[in-house]
Amino acid sequence: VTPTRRQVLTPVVLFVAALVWWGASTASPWPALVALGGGIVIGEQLDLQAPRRDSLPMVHAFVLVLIKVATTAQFAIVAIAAETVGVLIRTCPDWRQRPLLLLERFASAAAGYAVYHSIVTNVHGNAKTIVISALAAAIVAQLSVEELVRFGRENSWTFAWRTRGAELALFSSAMLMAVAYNGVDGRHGFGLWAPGLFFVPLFATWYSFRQLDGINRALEQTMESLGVVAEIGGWVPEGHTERVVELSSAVGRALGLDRNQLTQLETAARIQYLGHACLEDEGYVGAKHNPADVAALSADALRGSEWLAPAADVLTTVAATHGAVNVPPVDPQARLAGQVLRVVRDFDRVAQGEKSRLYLGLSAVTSDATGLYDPRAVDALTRVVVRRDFFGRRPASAA
Amino acid sequence: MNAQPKYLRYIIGFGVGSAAIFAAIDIAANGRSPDWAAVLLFGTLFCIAEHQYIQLDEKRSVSASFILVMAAVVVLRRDGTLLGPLIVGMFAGIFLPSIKKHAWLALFFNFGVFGLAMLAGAAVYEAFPTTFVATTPGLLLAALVSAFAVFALDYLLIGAWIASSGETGMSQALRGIVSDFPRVFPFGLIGGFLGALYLSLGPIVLPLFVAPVLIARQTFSSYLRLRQAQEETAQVLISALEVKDHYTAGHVGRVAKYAVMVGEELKFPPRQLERLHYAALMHDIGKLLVPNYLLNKPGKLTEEEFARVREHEDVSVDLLERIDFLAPVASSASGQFSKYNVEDDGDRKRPIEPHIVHVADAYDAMTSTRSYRKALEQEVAFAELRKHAGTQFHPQVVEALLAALERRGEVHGKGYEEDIEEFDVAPPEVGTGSAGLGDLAPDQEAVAKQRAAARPADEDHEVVA
Repeated sequence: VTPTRRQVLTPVVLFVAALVWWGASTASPWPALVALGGGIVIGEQLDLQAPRRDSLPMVHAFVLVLIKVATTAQFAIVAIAAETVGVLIRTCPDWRQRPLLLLERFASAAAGYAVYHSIVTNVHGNAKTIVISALAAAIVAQLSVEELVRFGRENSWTFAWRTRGAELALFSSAMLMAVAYNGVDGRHGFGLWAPGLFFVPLFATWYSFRQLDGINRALEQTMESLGVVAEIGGWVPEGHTERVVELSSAVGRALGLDRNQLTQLETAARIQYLGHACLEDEGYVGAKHNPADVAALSADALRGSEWLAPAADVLTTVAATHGAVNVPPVDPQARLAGQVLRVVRDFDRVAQGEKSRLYLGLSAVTSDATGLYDPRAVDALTRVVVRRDFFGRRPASAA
Repeated sequence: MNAQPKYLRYIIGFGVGSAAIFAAIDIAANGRSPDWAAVLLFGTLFCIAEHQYIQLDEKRSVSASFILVMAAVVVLRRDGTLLGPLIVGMFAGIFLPSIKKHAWLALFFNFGVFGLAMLAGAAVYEAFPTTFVATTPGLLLAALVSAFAVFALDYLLIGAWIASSGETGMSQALRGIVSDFPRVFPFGLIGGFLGALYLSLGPIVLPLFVAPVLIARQTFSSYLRLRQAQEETAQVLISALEVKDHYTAGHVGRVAKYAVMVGEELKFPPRQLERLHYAALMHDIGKLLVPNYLLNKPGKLTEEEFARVREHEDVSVDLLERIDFLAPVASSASGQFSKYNVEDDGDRKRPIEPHIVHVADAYDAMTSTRSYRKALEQEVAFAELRKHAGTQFHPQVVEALLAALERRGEVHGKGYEEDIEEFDVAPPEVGTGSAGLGDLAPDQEAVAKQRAAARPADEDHEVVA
């Protein structure tokens, strides 16, 4: 049994067994609670992986249902048992992470339980409003614990609504699952059908995130492969492309380029040397390739794609800085990105990613008196590599 | 299919649309007034859902509309009139693309289809006693039967509409009801529950339901856009290769096409087909590092040159291995690794994709004019593939490719080439043996002569792409 099959089979078997038990004996609450435990184990195996975000386990949705339907003792028993099984069988890069993960889950579930019950016990008024508010507060409490743990781990915190799709999907589906389980009054609901059916929209979200993550990775890796061609071909030193991509991106960010422009700058930085491959062998023709031709040919290769055409504009600017003539006009942002790329690659050719050569690299681009480099790009590069200690932050192997 | 008289489509279109309107008038005249706020809310949501579908591929799309249909059926039952569901259904007929295209008949028809289908679903749901649908099993059963009524009437009417154009017969619509309903009925059940929740909690349940659906839709749209970007990135590679070696223009695209044809023939699932497509598109990535003068050399290659050209395969494998989803089939880029070995047959761990790319590559090499040889006739290419099936080529793949080409009636090779490249030196007409990069000179030539002396002409050469 492979780990993947184990992750799928264990919770499904648990869930189905509990369902059968539930069907046979509806008088006892335990079959349903065990089925919810199976749901928790399933949810622990499914992470909502939004782009550029840490993964968010779907377990919180089932925990919210448990919070609403179980007594304190039942909640403690089922949550501890199910979370333990779920964390034990989930994919984890390191075994040592599991105890910490388990603690995180317990804390999150306990926070949700405490918040929900303190609201429904202490607040009086319209039952519907109270229950819905309590459920909303409970799921927010669970997610907040996750967020706090992440903050503790990474020592940084950012918030933007547009990147919170996973949280929003989890929040709304969990609310539906919980409130539909036994209704507002705790008696009139759909039982286990509710988490089963209202899990479907959340599962669709999980699937779409998974697809997006997969294609995102494939696209990045394809770009990286195309970028490595120039290094394997010996046209640029090993590691140069990756360093230029990373540094260009940092400089572009310092200059205020938006996310889309940064993506195009990174693409241009990866593909900029592809034009070498289109030119005749340097040894065969007995002359080095003209950098303007290389950049222009790389731009031509990108130009056919609607998605990559903005990156072609960046490379067109690079070709122009090398003296290419008859280059098509490009917008100011692409021109700035092209200037950044030109400055960074010339800097890296001298600095070669070594801290000891940093000032050599900088002097190569700052001492130019011909006006070749855009002063904004040079200034931003200086800020990034000196003031922000760019090389100091990079891992030793990369620098 | 036989062409049907054009008036048949008008009869169906006007008939269905008019039936819905007459039904609405009749119910309004004899029944109570529905909760217009709920009708407007569900009608608008239904209409939006119909526009916000996700096109999964050429044939399949998904939307949340069926869930909303069933939710509306359950909610509007409380009004004691079927007018509400009928009007909610009619909202879905307001389809902007049809309006933009001035497809008024189709619009009127859709207006009627959705209205009547909702009416049928609501009538069936109403037939169940109130006490029965108040229980969970009762609600599930009523929602299931009602969903079937909506679905079946929708399929039948649309089937009749399509049949009226002569594209398909009604039997296909009937088969569709049986085969497609199992895929959509869970949405009907969700809709039933959503409707029941709406009745107890009010409209707050709608945003709670719509939020994850919208997020899933938006994410899936991003995925489709990135998939297009991935395709275009592969096209960048093809563009670079064609600038470098314009005599093999179209080769990579054709290899990918043949490979996918084989994959379809072998009943690959969509994900595997997609991987095969990209593996085929990128199998020549290493050629970017082969000097142009070698790729375009009209004559034979020296051993040293041949070895240099062959190096590109290792580079291709290395580069493909860097891409996670292509890594398992990275050997597609290596002629050596993708060569068939009878001992590996049945080894489940060895993917078949490299063999497919190998066969597709060889077939295209044989049926295209190259600098060193004119295109061979398709029959010759078929014979060559069959001859080497079981030794050089995977026999199952060879048969699949031949079957796919024959089924589609596609003919490639001499006399059927598209975009034939003009060469400075006209390529020679040579035997089937030099199907790939060209024979080696001079040692390979000596070997070939020895073989020729021992066996009939043009046998046992390896097809190299």
